[in-house]
Amino acid sequence: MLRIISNLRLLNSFPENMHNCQPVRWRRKPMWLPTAKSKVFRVPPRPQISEEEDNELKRLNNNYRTAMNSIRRYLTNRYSVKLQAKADTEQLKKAFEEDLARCKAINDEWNAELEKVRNERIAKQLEEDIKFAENRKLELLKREEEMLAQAEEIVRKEKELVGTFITPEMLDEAIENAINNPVDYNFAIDLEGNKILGRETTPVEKAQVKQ
Amino acid sequence: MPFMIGPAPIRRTLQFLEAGRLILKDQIKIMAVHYHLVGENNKGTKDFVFWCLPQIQYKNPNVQIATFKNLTPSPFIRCFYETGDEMLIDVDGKSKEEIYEHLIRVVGKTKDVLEAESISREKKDNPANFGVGCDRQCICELPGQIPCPGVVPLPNHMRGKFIHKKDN
Repeated sequence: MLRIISNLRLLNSFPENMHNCQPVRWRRKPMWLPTAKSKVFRVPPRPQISEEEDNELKRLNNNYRTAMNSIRRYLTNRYSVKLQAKADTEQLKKAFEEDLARCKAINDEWNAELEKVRNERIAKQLEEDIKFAENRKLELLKREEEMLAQAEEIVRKEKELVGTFITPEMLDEAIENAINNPVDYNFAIDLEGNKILGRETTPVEKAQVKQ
Repeated sequence: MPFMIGPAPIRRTLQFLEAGRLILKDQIKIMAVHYHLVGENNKGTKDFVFWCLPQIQYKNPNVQIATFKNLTPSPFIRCFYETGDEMLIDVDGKSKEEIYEHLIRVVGKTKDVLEAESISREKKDNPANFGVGCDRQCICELPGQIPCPGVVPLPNHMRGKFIHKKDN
């Protein structure tokens, strides 16, 4: 019934020359329709398959599955873009080598340029170092000369002093001189900061505060 | 804040690490940086190691990066390929930006390659995708999703057999 209706509907919408066509759709009744009244209590008999036939069916089915699996795998390997890209090692290797050569060329250029700059820098540095060392040497010499001059000066002054030294011959005279001229190094300081020399001296008048 | 300890802790922020642009070629396995801590010609390399190495290591987790300090008079970078090749890059007296740009040009992946990779990764990496070449073959593999009807029948309220059922 349903098939007829649907066929009619389809027929109406079809162009004239399609009259002879018979659409094949819904060849059986939909599964939600209830069981036909005549079949409600029917119990279908279990299919009786002999062991021999069962084995044969299993064999055929196994063969079919194996064949289908192998075909599927073959097609996957044959047409998978990802696997192909991985498997194509030769091409990958070639691409890598080309890329490496290109990068090396760029890098060699860069290295050559840097080497030039570095050599210049090192030469300049060496020159500066030599100049620095020479300057240092000169300074050292100059300082040595100065030291020598200072030493000479000290010796000269000492030589001048030699005449005033007390010799054994002059000892008595020197002692007498010292006794006759006693020197008093003591002194006192008053509240205003004046220095009063001598142990026995007394301040005569108020001296002005030293600023 | 413990995170702020050390010099320039910004180097450890995710935003900074992800801003790195140098993604080394797949064949490069080791990168060695030789430099000196003093000297005007080593300054750029020192900055490079300080600022850029964290980014490079973050972007290339499978590359071993080694630094050799105070062993050579002039700084250089060496990259070792898995094929046995080697790239020696002189970086004497160059600033860190110049070094970085040169490395991107010489040992980094090109823009085209990166774009192609990002597209393919996007396809593969999206965890919502399922099917051939994805993390899961079918959405039913996720707990909480409806199992495939071939394995477990759908609940009755989703099956035409029961929705459209007409009684006898």
